[in-house]
Amino acid sequence: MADERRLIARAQAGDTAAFRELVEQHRARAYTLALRILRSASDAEEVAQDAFVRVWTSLPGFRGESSFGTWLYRIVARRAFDRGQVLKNRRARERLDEQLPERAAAEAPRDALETAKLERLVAGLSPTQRAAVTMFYYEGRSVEQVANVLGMPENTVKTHLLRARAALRAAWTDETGEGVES
Amino acid sequence: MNCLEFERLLDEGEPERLPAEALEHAHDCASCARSLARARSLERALAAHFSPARVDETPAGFTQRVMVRVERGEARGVRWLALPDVMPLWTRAAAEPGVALASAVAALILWRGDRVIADARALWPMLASTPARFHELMLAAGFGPAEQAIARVLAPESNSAWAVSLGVCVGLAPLLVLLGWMMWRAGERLVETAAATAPR
Repeated sequence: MADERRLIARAQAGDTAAFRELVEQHRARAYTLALRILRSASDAEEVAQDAFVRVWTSLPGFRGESSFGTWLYRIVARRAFDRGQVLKNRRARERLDEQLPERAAAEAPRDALETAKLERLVAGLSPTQRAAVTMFYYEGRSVEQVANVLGMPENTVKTHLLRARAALRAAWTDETGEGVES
Repeated sequence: MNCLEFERLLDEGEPERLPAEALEHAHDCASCARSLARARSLERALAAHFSPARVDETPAGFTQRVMVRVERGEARGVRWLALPDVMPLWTRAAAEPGVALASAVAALILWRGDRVIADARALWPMLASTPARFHELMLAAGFGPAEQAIARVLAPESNSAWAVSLGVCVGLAPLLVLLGWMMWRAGERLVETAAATAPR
């Protein structure tokens, strides 16, 4: 943490080498978060890149009220959410389908099956619902933080979460049948 | 509690924090007990799937692409004097070209305002004769017909006063500046696009 603070201070002074290290440390989580919301590798990369560039721009004003990571991931989430809104009606998307088996193969068979199933169900949610669900679990299940990041009232977030959960639960039930253990 | 209310509670999330009344209902109702089991299963899967600890590998060259954008100045803007952003606002503002130019002009006027005005007055006849000189220059360079064609477009009456021509030129100046700016921006974008599409 002290190392990160030093890196941030150096980056604030314009040291690009320090900023490169920060990018190296946080790129995977930033990219993954964007990927969870957008479900498109190319869009996720663009959003994550934009977020890092934005962070570099705003770094001099960063006062450390929240951790660097939290600040970055909120910028990523916000940008991914905005991009998701723009892409809402675009049907031709690069899908992650090719990537799923690769990652799933590294997991236990049952987990891999569940992951693939969940990926498919989450993909069926609207971009706003997906962003709300993603951020809800990312932000430690705090509706307030999700509302803050996505720039919408808490009640709206709750509604999106409720609808998303209802849709997921219905599909989850259909797909898992009776055999799900509690 | 009935089954509908129970389902509603499940949709609100947190199946592990259901009120005692709901748990009692699930205990007595086989259908709701199955729903609760599935909700718990989904909740576990969601928590694992969206966990911050679970990361995907970024595409190759990701960091390099970010740093190219940062280092070419896209992020903080290309400044003629690249002062670090940590410096106070008034220091950075003073280094902006517009502020520096305005300060220099103000200083010149305060220092030698009378002479500046006298020089400007002395320059006026020369400025006033500029259209005529330009006309002579164009004729000498062999651009007479072209100049006449332009003049006809700009000033319908060929014998119109020089002030009219000057007025037209002054009126056109912002448009020319705008055109120049647009071309400059287009050039910048061209360079950016070329840099972005260049092999990495």
